[in-house]
Order: sequence, then structure tokens, then C-alpha cells
Amino acid sequence: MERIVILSLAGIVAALPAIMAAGCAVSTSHASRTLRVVDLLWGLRALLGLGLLGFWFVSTTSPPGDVGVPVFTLWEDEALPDLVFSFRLDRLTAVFLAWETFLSACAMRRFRAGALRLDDRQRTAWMYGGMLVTVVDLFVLSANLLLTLACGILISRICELMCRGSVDAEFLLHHQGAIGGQAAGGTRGQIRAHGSGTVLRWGEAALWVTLLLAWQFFGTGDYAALCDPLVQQRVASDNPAAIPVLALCLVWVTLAFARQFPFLLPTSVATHGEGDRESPLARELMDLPVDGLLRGFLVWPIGFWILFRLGPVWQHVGVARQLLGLAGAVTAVLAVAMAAVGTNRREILSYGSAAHLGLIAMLFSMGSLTAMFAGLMLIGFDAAVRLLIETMTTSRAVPPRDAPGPSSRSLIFFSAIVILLWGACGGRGFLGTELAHSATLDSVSSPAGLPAAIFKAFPWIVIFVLSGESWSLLRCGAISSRQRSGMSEDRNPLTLPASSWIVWLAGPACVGIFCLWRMDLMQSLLLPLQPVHVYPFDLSMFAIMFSSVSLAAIAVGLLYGLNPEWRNALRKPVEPLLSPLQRGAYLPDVWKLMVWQPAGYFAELCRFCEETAWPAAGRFFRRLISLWGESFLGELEHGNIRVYGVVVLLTTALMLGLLLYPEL
Amino acid sequence: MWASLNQYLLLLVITSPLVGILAIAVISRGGPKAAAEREAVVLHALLTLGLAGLLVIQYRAPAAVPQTNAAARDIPTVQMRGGFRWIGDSVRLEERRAAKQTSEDDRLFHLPLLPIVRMAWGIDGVSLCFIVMTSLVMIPALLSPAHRRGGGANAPAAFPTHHKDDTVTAICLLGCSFGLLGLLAAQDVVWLMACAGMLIGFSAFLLGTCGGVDRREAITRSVARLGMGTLAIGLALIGFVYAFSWMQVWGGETEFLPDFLWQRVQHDLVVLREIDPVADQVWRQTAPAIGLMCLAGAWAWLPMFPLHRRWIPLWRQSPPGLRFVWLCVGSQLGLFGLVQFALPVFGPLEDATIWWSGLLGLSGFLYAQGVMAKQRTFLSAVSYGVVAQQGLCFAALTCGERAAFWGGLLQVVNVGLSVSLLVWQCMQGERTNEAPSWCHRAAIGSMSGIPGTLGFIGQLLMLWGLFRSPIAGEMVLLTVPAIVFGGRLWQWAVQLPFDVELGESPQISNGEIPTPSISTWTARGYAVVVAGVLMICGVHPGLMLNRLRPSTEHLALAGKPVAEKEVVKVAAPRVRDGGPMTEPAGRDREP
Repeated sequence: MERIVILSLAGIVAALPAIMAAGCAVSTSHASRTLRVVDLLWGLRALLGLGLLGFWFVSTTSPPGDVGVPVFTLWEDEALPDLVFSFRLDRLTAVFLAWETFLSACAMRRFRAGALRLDDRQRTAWMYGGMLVTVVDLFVLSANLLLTLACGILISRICELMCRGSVDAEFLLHHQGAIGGQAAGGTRGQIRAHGSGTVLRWGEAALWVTLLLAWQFFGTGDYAALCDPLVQQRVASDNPAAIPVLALCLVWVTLAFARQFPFLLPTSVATHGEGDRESPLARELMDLPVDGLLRGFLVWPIGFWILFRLGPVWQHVGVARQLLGLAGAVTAVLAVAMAAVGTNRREILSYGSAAHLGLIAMLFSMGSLTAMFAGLMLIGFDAAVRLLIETMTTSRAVPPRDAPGPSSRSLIFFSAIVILLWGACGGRGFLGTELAHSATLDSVSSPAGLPAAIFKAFPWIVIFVLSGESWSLLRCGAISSRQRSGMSEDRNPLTLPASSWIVWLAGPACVGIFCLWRMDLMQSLLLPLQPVHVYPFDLSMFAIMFSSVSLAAIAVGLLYGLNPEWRNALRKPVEPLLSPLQRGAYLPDVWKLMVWQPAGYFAELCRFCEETAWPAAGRFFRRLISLWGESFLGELEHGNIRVYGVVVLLTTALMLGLLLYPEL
Repeated sequence: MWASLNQYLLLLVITSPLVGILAIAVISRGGPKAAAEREAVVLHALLTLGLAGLLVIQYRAPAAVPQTNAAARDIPTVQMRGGFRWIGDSVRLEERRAAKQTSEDDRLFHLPLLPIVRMAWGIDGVSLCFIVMTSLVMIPALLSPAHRRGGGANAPAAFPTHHKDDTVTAICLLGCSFGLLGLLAAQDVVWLMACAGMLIGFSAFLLGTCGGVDRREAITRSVARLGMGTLAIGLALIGFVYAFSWMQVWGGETEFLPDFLWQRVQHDLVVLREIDPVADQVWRQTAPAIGLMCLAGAWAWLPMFPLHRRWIPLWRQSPPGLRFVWLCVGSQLGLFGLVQFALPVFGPLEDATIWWSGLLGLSGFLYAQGVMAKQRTFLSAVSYGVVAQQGLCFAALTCGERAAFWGGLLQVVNVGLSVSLLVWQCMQGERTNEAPSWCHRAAIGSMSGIPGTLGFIGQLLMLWGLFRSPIAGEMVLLTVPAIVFGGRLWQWAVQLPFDVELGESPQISNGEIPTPSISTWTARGYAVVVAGVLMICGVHPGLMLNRLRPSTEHLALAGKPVAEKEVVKVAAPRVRDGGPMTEPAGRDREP
């Protein structure tokens, strides 16, 4: 009975967005009644998702265990390991589904009341949203790499569709010259926005390689088989490099999908939430909060999902863990620096989210499942609350383009509450034991040598990043609350008055105070978590992270609200604070050097060969041959068909002669 | 002679273009009868497509399940066959073999001067897919003349039209269709060459009549060389089949089958070496010439790096209808010949050969992708995209892995259908409504490998097979990003006419012919059908793979001798239907 209920709820939750997307695709009605029905369905789905979570965690006295879902076989043959789509539903999936249903309902509600509510494209964007949510659900439910690959590709394509893009923009800009210039007349922002799709292609390529390697080494792409210790032992004995290579590929997938360094690009991060402010089309993109937030808070975190599922494959590979941790650290530092100097709210929030994902990658590399999962939840619910606030503060009487943004104080206030809530429940038992069982992350060996030194530096990086996030939150609130979200025309570089540095320094201070204050409680919390071998350091880092952000946010928010001079001082433009790091100006060059320059040189070389080298070689050989036989081959040079015919006839006669008279 | 409904259907499919030609000849009375001709063309195309669909439904995979390698080698490739003898005696094979045994020394005196030519045709899984693809692609090709006629101010001055042009164009296109269908279903070398000659002849005439400004270059560089390549392949096949027929049964038979050729190389040559040293010596002296001619002909028909440049003028200078023929189907015929003729004749490939062929195919793929990235027109980009896919499919088909072999065949069909839909959509000049737009996206998605389309399955099978093949895995791993980003290039290329400037007309250059919009129901209908085929086969690939598997089981194992491969499991039931000519000539010999 429990199994039937759980499967039914999960099926409805996963299928409902697809039904709604199909309905939006075939419907031509824009009546408010229709839109209300869609709103109602999204809300109903959120309730079902929460009901699924509640039924599993509360109503059942004992865990029902993993629920298997029927497998869809594409084709069966011995030449292929498993051409099947299989699903798996466990507690971790239930948590993620519930979170996703809530977030997507908030996003759709925001979109319903948002800037495009009077626009004809609303129905199309709803359809894309439904498709994206469906595919994300399938991605989460997938139990083998083939389905994960299919969903990853679909997510990437739907994201591009949502941005109305398929132009490989950076390539056009850097290597197509005239066409780039042609396209730049009014669509430069579109091109910049579409550059982010290229990053997802890296994730796709990594997924392809991961699938091929898994099929090659393990003979299957099924997660259960990949995580089986006996199978891993056999594979490692056959080929010692198999599991490390597979682990590196998995990290590669995560880095690309979660936008970690070196895939952290201004065009791929900021445009998710904002777009390029210089172009009219980018302004339209800025009017698409659903796009920005779904991509920002659904697509990015699922990069970590495959690491959840395949923890035993990669967690014992030191190189993969260190690589993930280093990438996360670099991402966090760079993103928080860019968030700190952002000039509008959406940009600050986008880079702040990227920095937070970097922190999660660092925690993941240290093996802290609890902190990492709570961090993902934090991002999602913070986004959901922000969406709700924006929805509530958007006036229906005002045209979309003139609508004011949400209140800065409400943003800070609700974000702080969400942070505190998740900081408080992050160390609960069900997050520790049950989810650790689902994610099969049981133990992590401690690093040694240079990696250990690097890992020891992580706490200081965390403190720095959290302080930066606190300050960015302040800056976000300091930007005029009356300005429309994401439409700031403030192009001046951000500067800080001396007084605001107090806020920045408040972060480490809060961390220290909180650690001293909460240490005893953390020690008591460790006891029920012993079976899953979560390190005390990890848990303390988790608590430090959320507490510092929350305290700093609350303190700054209160001070900011009481002191209007600070607000004015923060708005005042002075000298650039972080000019070398400002807005990641160097990142496009790094990206260009890594990707576009080699690709461009290769393409240019091929074009040169095609248009110049091959014809020249042909002329050279024809001239060389003509020296040998001037008259006959001269005819060949001019393509005389009769000459070809004579050649073929002579060859035929020779062949027939050999056939009929073998004595020859 | 006709044993089943399938053979009647096959006959109808092949001869339906001739019916169309007669219909147009009757309807056209010297005046501009555009509507009537167009209706005739559309009805003919729908008739062909319907018949091909019936053929697919009627076609059944073999029922017998070979449980051993030896049995797998004996899987018949041709499930439906029919025809009649044209020239030569009708002495049955067994009688001739008995005669040979009694008068071994009189062989040379009984050699007939004329070979036994049969108007024989048949269908296996490979040719079935190609025939359906041809039937689909010929619809927009046949509609193109009427499409172009309505050009008005947009019609290019370089291609003047008069009232007879459309009739001639339609007849030539129907002739090309007849040649294509006959070539795909041919089971006799003479019949094969005749159909190929019709295809090339009608194409040359149409190109010379209605082609672009550089059509002379196109004819000289492309069509003439294709004709020579056809002649080389035909002569090589004649030599191969005729030599073996002469060596064994005293009579020259030009009939061939893919598994017939395969049996010759795999088994008969070994036996022949022992029982007939003279014949073995003859074969040894003839084999180099046959192999070289096959190779030369195959190069002419494969639009693949490094000899792809001869195809570019043909694609660029062709009128729209002929462009469909050569860009979507004609460019795939090289791989069809590779599967049906070249691989069986060459026999098992050595690992070194596989490595070099894979290197050639994959390097050609990467090269064409690089060139494609630098193209600035839709047609050029799509042309180099086709060249790139040819390289990838070539590497997959010759790597000796079954998965790659099937994936390569799926990708060939996918490229043909997707490119036809993209060109068809581009000919509309605009996104007329949502239905073609969505179908357009389905074609782009299928070319770029979106899950749920035929392209994804093809890429998956190809990459896995290549990864398992003697080709270095690292090379394939390098190819994976190229394929993924190649999909991105595809999207860019096909959207270029639409997205360079929003609301602006497509960018046309290099003598490409702009065409105005046509009636929407034909555009929608074709787009919906092709997109549906791509997506249905992507979700349920068994529709194609179950038909391809029995026909290609022995060829898919071409990388190594069959005995070294694993036991083949074929689950599909085996049903043989056919007339007296069902059994191939070499079928009755045990290995």
C-alpha cells in the first residue's frame, strides 16, 4: 500500500508538468480563467510533492526502502550493455522532488504575476517551464546513466529554448567577423546570453564520456551496479585506472552543470538572471524571472545530483575530491568578489548563488553530505521565498516594464529567516542518516600531504566567502528598492565608504562568536550522526556558514533600516574597490583562451585547407602530371569526359582479357 | 513468378515513377498546366509513399533464430525478391552444377557469350530504409518546380523559366526517382547500372537545363565523375559475379546479393582453392583489378573527406528539386554501396584496415566540422555538415562492431530525412506557423542528437561501437566533444537564415536559388510526417533495428572472421517469402 501511494504521488508529480506543458502547447487561450487553472495545477503539484515527502517521512513508521519503478527498454541486444531507462525513488529523491515542486510553483506564480503577464509569449514560456520541470524530475528519478544523459541533454536544450537561443555567440563574435558584426546590430545581448549554452555542452560531452566509460569498464550504466563495492573491486582489479577516470568525468559533469570554475563565466552566470543590459533583447530576458531562477536554482544544483547518486564511485578518489574542492574554492572566491561589486540586484544574487554553489562543492569534497544537501535546500528555498516576495510586491495595476521591484528589506528579512531555519534543522537526524543512506555517501578518507594543507585552508575561504555574501546582501538591499529588479542603470563602479567595512568584518567576528557559543551543542549533535561518519569539522563548518550569514544579514539589515545615511553612502559612487576582479573581466579571456581560440584556429585551418590548400595542391599535381604527358593529361585537366571514357574502357578490356584468358 | 503481395508492392513502388511520368505526359498539352501537373506529382509522391509504407508493414524479419556463428553467417539478407529473366537460359542451378561435374574439362567451350541478366529486385532491411527515405524525400523534390514557378519578383534572373520547363523538370525528377528506387532494389548488376545511369542521366539533363550559373563545372566535376564511378562499380561487380558464376556453374549470371557476395569471399574462395586451382588462379589474377575498380567507384560515390569537393558544385548548382535528390539521398548512396557491395566483396577487414578507415572517417568528420563552422550560408553549412556525417558514418560502418554498424545506418537515414526537412523549411523562407517550426526544431534536434529522436539513437550506437572497436578509444573520446559541439554548429547553421537579422529574408549567395512560400498544407504535411518518423524511430528504434539486424548480421561482424565473434542472438522470427528465385545461388552449400 505504501509503495502504491508513493509511486502514485511521484508519478503524478512528475507527469503533471508534462501535461501542463502539452496543454500550453496546444492551447491558444490566454484567458485569465485558463491561467488560473494552470496556477492551481502548479500549486496542487507542490502540495502533492510535500505530501509525498510527508507520507514517506512521517506517516510511515518504518522506512519502506527504495521503490523501484518499471523500466522502459529502448532496444535489447547483446551488442549494448543496457539500452534502458530505469528509475529509482528513495528518500533523497522524495526530498528533492518536494523541494523542486515548491520552487517551481513559486517560480510559475511569479511568472504569472510578473512582467510578461500581459505578453503573448507567456504561454510559450509556461510550456518551456513545464518541459524543464518534467525533465528535471526525470533527471532526479533516473537510476542509470543513459537516462541521466538523455535528461541532461534535454535540460541543456530547453534552457537554450527558454533563452530563445541557439546561436553560438562567443564563436560568432570572436571568429565569424562579419556575421558577428551583422548579428551585433541589436542582438549582441542575445548572443551573449546564448554563450551560456556552450557551457552546458561541456556537461553533455562529459556525460557522454562518462556513459561510454561506465559501459566499457562496468558493462552497465546502472547506478546500483556502479555503486556496488564488489563490482568496483572487480573493475579496479581489471583496470586500476577505470574508477579514477570515471570519477574525474563525474566531477567534470558537475563542474559544467553547476557552473564551477573554469565554467564560471560572466556570460553564463549573470545572464541567467539578468542578461546583457546593453541590448533590448537582454532587457526582455531580464523580464523572465522564471528563466533566470529556474536555471539558477534548478539546473545548477542538479549538477551535484549525479555526485549524490554515484558517491561510492568518486568519493574515494583523492584527485577527484581535491579537484572538486579546488574548483569550488576558486568559484566561491571569484563569484563572491563579483557579487560584491555588482551594480544591480539580480546580478548580485546570481553571483551570490554561484559563490554558494562553490561552497557546496567545497563541502562536498570534504565529504559532508549533510552540509551540502542543506546548502542546496537553502539555495532553493531562498529563491522560492524571494520569488514569493516579488510576486506579492508586484502590482497588477502597473504595466510590467514600469513595475517596481520587491522591497529590499523584505528580501533581507525573509532570506535571513530561511537561512536561520535551515541552519537550525540542517543537522537533524533524517538529513544525516536517512539521506546519507540514500546517497550512499558513507565514509570519506581524510586527505594527506598537500591536499590536506589545501583542505585546511578551506575554513578561511569559507569565512571570507560568507563575509562577502553578507556584504553583498547588504549591497543588494542598499540599491534602491524602488528601482525595478534587474533594470538598474547604475553603470558606475561600486565603492565602499569606510563605515561599510564594519559589515564585512562582522562576518568573521560572528563566526568566531558563534563557534564559541554553539560548540557544546554541536558536540551533542554529533552523537546521533556517528553511524554515518560525518566529521565534526564538517558539521561545524556547516553551522558556521549559516549562522554567520544569518547573523550578519540580520545585523546589517537592522542597521541598514535604521540608518539612512548608510544607504546614501552606499549609493555614492567613488573609486573602484576591486578593480582587478571587478565583474570578472578576466574570465572571458580565460574562456576564450581555453575554448574559442583553439576551436577557432582549428576551424580557420580547415577553412584555409578547403578554400586554398586543396585547390592549390590540385593545380600543382595537375601541372606536375602535365609535364609527364602534356597532351593526354591536359585533356584530363580540363575534365574531358571522352578521355575518362577511354580510360575506363581500356581498364575494362584489360579486366575482361584477364578473365577470359588467364594465361595472359 | 510473383509469390506474394510484397513483391507486387515492390513492383508498384519501383514503377510508380514511370506511371507519374506517363500521367504528366498526358496532362501536359504544351501549355502551362501548372495545377494539373502539380496535382499529378503530389498524387504520385503520395502513392509512392503509401506503397512504401505498405511495404514496411508487409515486410517481416526472418523467423529463424541462428544460435551459432555458422548459422548467423547463413542469414539471408534479402527477404522479398522477384523478377524475370531477360537474357540467357533458364537452366536451374542444380542442373548446371551437375553438368559441371560431368564435364569439368569442357568449361571454356561452354562459356556463353552473354551473361544471364535478370530484371531482379529485392529488399532487405537496409534497402527498405533507403526506399522509404527516398519516397519521403521525393515529395518536396517534386513539389519544388511548382514552388519555384510562383517566384514572381523573387525568381532569379539567372534561371529563366518557360512553360515547358516545369514539365521537363517533373519528368526528369521522376526519372531520377525511378533510378533511385531501382538502384536501391536492384539484385542484378546490369539492372543496377541501368538504374544508376538513369539517375545520373536525368540529373545531368536537369542540371544542364535548370542549374545554376556554374552548372557546366558541376556537370563536369560531379555528375561525370559519378557516372564513371558507377561504371567502375558496375564493371567490378560484373567481373566478380560473372567470374564466380563462370567458375562454378559454367554460365555467367549477373545476379548478385549482398550475402551472395559475402559467401563468395568467406567460404567459396577457400573451397575453390582446394577443388579448382585453375579457377583460383583466375580469381587471384582478377581480384586486384576488381578491388581497385570497386575502390575507385566507391570514392566517387562517397562525399567524404578528402574527395568531397566534387560534390559541393553539384549541391550548390542544382535546381531545388534535384538538390533534394543529391543532398538528401544521393549523398547517402556511397554508404549504401559500401554496405551492400564493398564490404561483402572485400570480406573481413583486418584491424589495421579498420584503424586506418576509422582514422580517415573521424578525421574527415572533424575536418568537415571545422569547415562547417566557417561557412556563412545555410546551404554551405548544411553541405559540410553532410560531409562530416558521412565521415562519421563511414568510420562506424567499417569498424567491425555491430552497434556502430547499426548506428551508422540509422544515422544515414537520419541525415537524409533531417536535411530534407531543413532544406524544405528553409525554402519556405520564413516560419509560417508553429507546426513547421516545431518540425523544423525536431529536425535540428535529430541532427544534433536530442534524446527522443533518431539522431540520438544513431549517435549512441555509433559512439559505443566505435569505442569498442580497434579504433583507439582516445580518438573516439576526442570525437565526442566534436559531436556535441557539432550539434551546436548545426543549430547555428540552420538558424542562420532566420536569426541573422530578425524579420529579414534569408541570406542567399553563391548562386543559390531563393524560393517563395508555397501552400501551407503541403509544407505542414511533409514536415509533420518527417518529424514524426524521426521522433517515432527515436522513441522506438526497434522499428528500424529489428528490420536491419537480420540483414546486416553478417556484415556487422565484418571486422573479424565470424568465428572469432561472440554468438549472435537474433530474437526476431524468420519468415521467408519469395518465388523460385528466393534462394541465393550459394545458399545450398554447407560451410
